Amino acid sequence: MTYTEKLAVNTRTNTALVASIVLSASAAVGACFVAAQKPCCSLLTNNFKPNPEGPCPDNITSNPTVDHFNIASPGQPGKKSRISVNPGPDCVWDVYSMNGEGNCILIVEGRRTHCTPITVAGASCTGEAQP
Amino acid sequence: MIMATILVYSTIAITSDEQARAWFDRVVAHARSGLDSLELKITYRVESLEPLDTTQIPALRARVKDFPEHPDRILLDRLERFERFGPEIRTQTVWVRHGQLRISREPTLDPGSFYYDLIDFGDSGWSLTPTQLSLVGTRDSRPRGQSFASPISASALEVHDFIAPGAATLARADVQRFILDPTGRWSAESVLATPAGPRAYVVRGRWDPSRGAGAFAGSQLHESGLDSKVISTLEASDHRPTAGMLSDPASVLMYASQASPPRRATLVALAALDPAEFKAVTARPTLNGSDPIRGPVTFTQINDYTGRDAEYRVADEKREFQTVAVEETPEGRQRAWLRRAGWALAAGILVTIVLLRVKQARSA
Repeated sequence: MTYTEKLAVNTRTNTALVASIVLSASAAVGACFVAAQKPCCSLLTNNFKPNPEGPCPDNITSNPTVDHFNIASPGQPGKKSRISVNPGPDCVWDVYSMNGEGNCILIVEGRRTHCTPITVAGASCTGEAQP
Repeated sequence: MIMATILVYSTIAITSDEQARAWFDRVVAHARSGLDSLELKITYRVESLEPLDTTQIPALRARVKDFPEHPDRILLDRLERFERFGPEIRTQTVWVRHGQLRISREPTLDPGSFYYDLIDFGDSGWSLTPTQLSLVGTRDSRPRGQSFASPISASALEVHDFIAPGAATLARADVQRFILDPTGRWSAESVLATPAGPRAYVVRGRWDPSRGAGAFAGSQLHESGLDSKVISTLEASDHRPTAGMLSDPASVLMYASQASPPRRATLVALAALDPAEFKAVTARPTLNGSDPIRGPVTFTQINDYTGRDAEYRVADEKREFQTVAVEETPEGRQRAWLRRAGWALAAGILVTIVLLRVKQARSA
């Protein structure tokens, strides 16, 4: 086997390796969903999330549960499609900041962000096995 | 005779000066002990005086129209709320007894707002909204975002500012000069260590030698030394001598700072705290019980952060609380991702090994 042939085999092997990892990861993500309820703040996808870290963390004052979805476990009956619905309950928090004296002071009280609950609908499927 | 008069006056001045300084030191030491030294019930409101220009609303709406993540949406939201409900006003009552406390915040004028109460015992605590009851353990064990640290520290500062405006900040500073003039006005110059470096901090007040008491009237924070620009001020007014208080509490506080919008805090009520009342207002309501401040409970979710893992319980139609499965919680979701990623990686490695073996077999 020439060097070029070996290189070609190696390239094919590497391509197959990458493809297999990608396919495995895709399969792991799954496409079956089951309805669930989750805390609203955990679902926020915009830039204005509560800041729970640092020396002056924001304080969550309301975090209601909202309808959402989970990825189905293998073999677990679920639904195939997801439907975004209108903004639902609010995640509410107080915004704090350090002032010039190094004190943590309340800047905005009751900042609200809508959760966007996602409900599950459509044809049924079972677990993660089905794409 | 003249010499004797001078001597007497000097003695009085020195005595008054020393008395004033001793009183000042006691007030600062009292503030230094934070909430541990307090046993009172105080109600006050804080109003934002931030000048907001609502004429920009149409232009802002047009600017963010097609951009759901546009940062100006924050400003637009504030302007719209200001236009509809007026300035932000926070009204709250604080019951504090030797470091333990309850803070009850009232809803704002926004009809979508609601009350928020927190109770902190140090080794445990809970918070209450119309929809949720959250339980927390020791201060060190509380998850981020549920520590209560910010509202407690902010409230402690405000409470101390009513009692002796500026004393809580002075308690962290290095007091270098205390000057009392013949009219009874005093000022204390100090250096405050801040994240931005040392800053001069000056507090002013009045001393009444006939009562052996006085008041803190205001403070100013400089950018660096005493000659530098003033970047933050606190002006206190309408002081009222109150039994049991080391200094005369103020009724109105005006805050102005480069770091935050100006605001006015107004005292509504201040009274000594009855231990029986404190016990009653800090008793945790039962699932179908009642809270002495909020009445019959309405929460439909319980967040329990007292254990190693957070536990969420949600009420069903019969108001029976069911535990939400671990995989449906934020923590569980993260673990599920890790588990899936692990399986994906293992599968990838397995396939690689198989491919290599096949390749070796073919080569042979």
